[in-house]
Amino acid sequence: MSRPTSVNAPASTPTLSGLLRSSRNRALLVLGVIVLGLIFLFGGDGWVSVLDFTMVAAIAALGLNVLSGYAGQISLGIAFFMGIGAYTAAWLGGSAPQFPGAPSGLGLSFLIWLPASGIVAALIGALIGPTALRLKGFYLGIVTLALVFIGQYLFINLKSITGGQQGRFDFPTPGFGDFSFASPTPIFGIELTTNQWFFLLLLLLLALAAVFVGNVARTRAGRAWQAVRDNEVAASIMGINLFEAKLGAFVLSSFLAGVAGALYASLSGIATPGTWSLLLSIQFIAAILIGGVASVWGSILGAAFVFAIPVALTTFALLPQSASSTGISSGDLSTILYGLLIIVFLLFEPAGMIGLIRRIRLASLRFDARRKGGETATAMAPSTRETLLDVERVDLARETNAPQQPD
Amino acid sequence: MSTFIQLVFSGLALGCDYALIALGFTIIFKASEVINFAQGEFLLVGTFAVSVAMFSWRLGFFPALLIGIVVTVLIGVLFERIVLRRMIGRPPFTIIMVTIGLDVVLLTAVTMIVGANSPASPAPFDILSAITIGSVKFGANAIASIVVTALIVAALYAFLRYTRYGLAMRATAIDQEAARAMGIKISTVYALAWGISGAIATIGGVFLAAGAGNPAFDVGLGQAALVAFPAIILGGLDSIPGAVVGGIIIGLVYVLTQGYEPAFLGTNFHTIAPYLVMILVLLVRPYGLFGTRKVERV
Amino acid sequence: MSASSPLLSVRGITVRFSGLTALSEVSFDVYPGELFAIIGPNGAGKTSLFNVLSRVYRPVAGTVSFEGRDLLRLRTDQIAGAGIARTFQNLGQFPHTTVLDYLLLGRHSRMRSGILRGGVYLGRAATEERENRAYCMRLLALLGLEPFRDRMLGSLPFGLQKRADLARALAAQPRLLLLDEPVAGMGLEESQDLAAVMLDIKEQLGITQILVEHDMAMVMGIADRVLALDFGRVIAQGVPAEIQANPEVIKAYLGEVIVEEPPAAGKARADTNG
Repeated sequence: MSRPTSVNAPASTPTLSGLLRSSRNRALLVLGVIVLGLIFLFGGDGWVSVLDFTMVAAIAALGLNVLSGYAGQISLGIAFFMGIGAYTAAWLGGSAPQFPGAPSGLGLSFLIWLPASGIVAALIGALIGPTALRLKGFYLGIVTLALVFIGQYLFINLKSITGGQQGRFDFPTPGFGDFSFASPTPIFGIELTTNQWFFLLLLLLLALAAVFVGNVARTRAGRAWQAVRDNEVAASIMGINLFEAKLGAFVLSSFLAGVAGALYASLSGIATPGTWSLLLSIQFIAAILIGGVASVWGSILGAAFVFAIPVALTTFALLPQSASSTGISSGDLSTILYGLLIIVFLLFEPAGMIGLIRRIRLASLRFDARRKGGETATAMAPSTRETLLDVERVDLARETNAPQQPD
Repeated sequence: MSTFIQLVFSGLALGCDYALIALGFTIIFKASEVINFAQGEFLLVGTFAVSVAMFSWRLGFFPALLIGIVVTVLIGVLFERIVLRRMIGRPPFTIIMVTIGLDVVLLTAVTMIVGANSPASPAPFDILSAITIGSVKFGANAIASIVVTALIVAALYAFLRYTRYGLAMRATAIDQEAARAMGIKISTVYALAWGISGAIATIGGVFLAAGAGNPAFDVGLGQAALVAFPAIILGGLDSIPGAVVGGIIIGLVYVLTQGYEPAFLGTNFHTIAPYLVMILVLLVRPYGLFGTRKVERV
Repeated sequence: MSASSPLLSVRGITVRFSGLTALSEVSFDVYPGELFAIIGPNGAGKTSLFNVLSRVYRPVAGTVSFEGRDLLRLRTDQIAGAGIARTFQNLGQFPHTTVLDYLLLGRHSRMRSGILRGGVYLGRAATEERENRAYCMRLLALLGLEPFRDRMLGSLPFGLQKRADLARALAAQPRLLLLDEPVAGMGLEESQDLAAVMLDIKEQLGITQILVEHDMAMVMGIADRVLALDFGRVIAQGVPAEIQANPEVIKAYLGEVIVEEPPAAGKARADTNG
């Protein structure tokens, strides 16, 4: 290369993989961990519980983002798979019927029911996927909508597992041997509440899920998903098996939704068929659209936004929790807010909050560059442009670029 | 036998309501290839507006209906103009999602205003009035929905066939670029489509609310309208006769399964029967019974 | 040439769309190492022919064999793995993909790791990813795309997008490269650069190429043999000199108005230089 690299390399363009590499980002992450730690230790049980539900929601949002964000397949069915996960957990981990007609459970360890909740959901996804994924766009959306209604019907009627219309109240809680999250005893002299134990477990599980999805997204399978999302015909010409790619996304998405469903039911201890409604699915769609499609951090941010804000509004006692005959409830206010935000983000920043953050970072990087090297920075814009338009003569034989005319 | 006739009649009437809802989808889709997930909430908003005008403002049914229609037409046209106009050329995924956003906003807005009260179902007659022939009851609302649906379909047909704007809409549906070249204003066509669809939504909503036979309806009205999705899928997204036939089939399936629901199927099987029929049809014909398949290119 | 057996053998391919015949009994052979060009006016069926070779269109009659294998028995996504890569005529399908990721996408059929291994990202998956990244980096360097490896395709000028697309096709290490109007929309200088690249691919890498092109002058300059199509039929086949002299070809080309496309990119550069 004869040309100076400072002109040549678009070094100022941050890359996706670089999101965690800059010191600024590391600082943000450390700050986040400190805030989480402070809430965990001093925030009180209410706030820890808000974080717990947010983390569960984030796992499900990651699942939806795999299918809809990365692979581009519309799905309204996530509530169905969450329900499957929850009832699998209830059946495997729940207690034996205490009175006639009570829902049954096998009382197995959480090391069994938690993975099983994901696996059963994934298997059902693998069963439905081949049929559903023949359809595209809106058709797939409607079939997954149908899944939610079929789920409602099944959950109401399979009383021995779901408890029927009234719901089930004995969802299992994680624990080891004699120790259970439900009534935690001190371990090594440390005494934590139920919600705090859940916090530790969920933080671990969310981190695992996030790293896993992030890894898939930047390797072969994830690249294939995104290519399928962007252009199916071109993707298959490049050698991607469309069916395999979509089914893989569908199964992984169902797995994560199943695990999240089991954790959700375990955390709240109760679920009725109405828990797994269309509204829940729409909340997750809102979460990934607002947080950021095809982004791990976007899933987490979006889940926090959609699921933590209503609780926060209630906790601050700004608004009553449910609608009275007059006045606005916190649930309604946050719902209308995220409805509006879906529209606003799709209009102005389709990459969601993550896109917004990236934009701010880019602007601040530019600002830094300008401040640092006054003249070189101002000269950079036109010269970079010039490089882009200038296609260099390539010579494969010598594997070097022919010398350029000095500009 | 009379049970069967009763069920078929009720199914037909409900099917006509679904046909109206399905028509709302189809008209928008034909004109602009947008699938309006918020159509169900258009029904809710329109019906709610009629109810408020009739029972709070003490207007007659027909002036109230007009107000309801104006409200949904305005929402539709404004949404198209303010939001969708800026999203032309974006992937279908995004456009479906933005209508889901509208759905959430409309549903929640009505929920907030309604609070814990249930609005009364508006109708020009006592919603329970009926003519009984033999042992079969022909409800006034059911008769009205069949007659009005027939009238609307006929009017729509005449509009698309014989009027200047109707022809413009059809031309745009076939080939947008060619239509533009012929001097058709695409924005007018879009506005028309959203307007017509909004108006039909209010009428369908009023029938659907009264058809339930309760003096009041709740905010779940829009969700009940989601059963129209199987109807448009059966009929194919872009076919107007398909929407009508699909709507009627779904209405019949719903009412007949409800009427003959065997005990072993548990409760509420009829709520999923339309979806099961839809899935069966899609297994055989992925683009519906009347829909056309799009050719994709590289 | 006839000494070796053909790499690709197309016999009697006919394609119809709802009554319209896009291709009618097209037959030709391509030999290893050749730079074979398919020319013809707009709508002659050039891209349809590529779509048959990529298994996007299903012919109603005819056979295609590649290295003795029946190509028509493969699915679209198996073509890349069989050793045939294709560039796209229209770009912009993947605006948010970075250049490096685009090349890695091109290597999809050469890689193995699935969701589980990719997600855990230990051992084989990590090694595979690293090795393939390194391969793509070398290819980027070779094509002068190194400075743009982290740029999104949509942010690159047209000429560079075309070049990245070519690099993506080469990343699959094909034995047959299908180039769908590689210089369409390019300025004169860019076209010449790309023609040089094609010759390099032929001479240095020994990859057989089929080129669909509208630009006669360019084709005649670099192709070994040319097939001329008109209205879906083969009207001539032979070395460039024969094709240029062929009365049917001349007639087909005279039948349409030839408009020199404005070299948009080249003009823009002239502006910034001045």
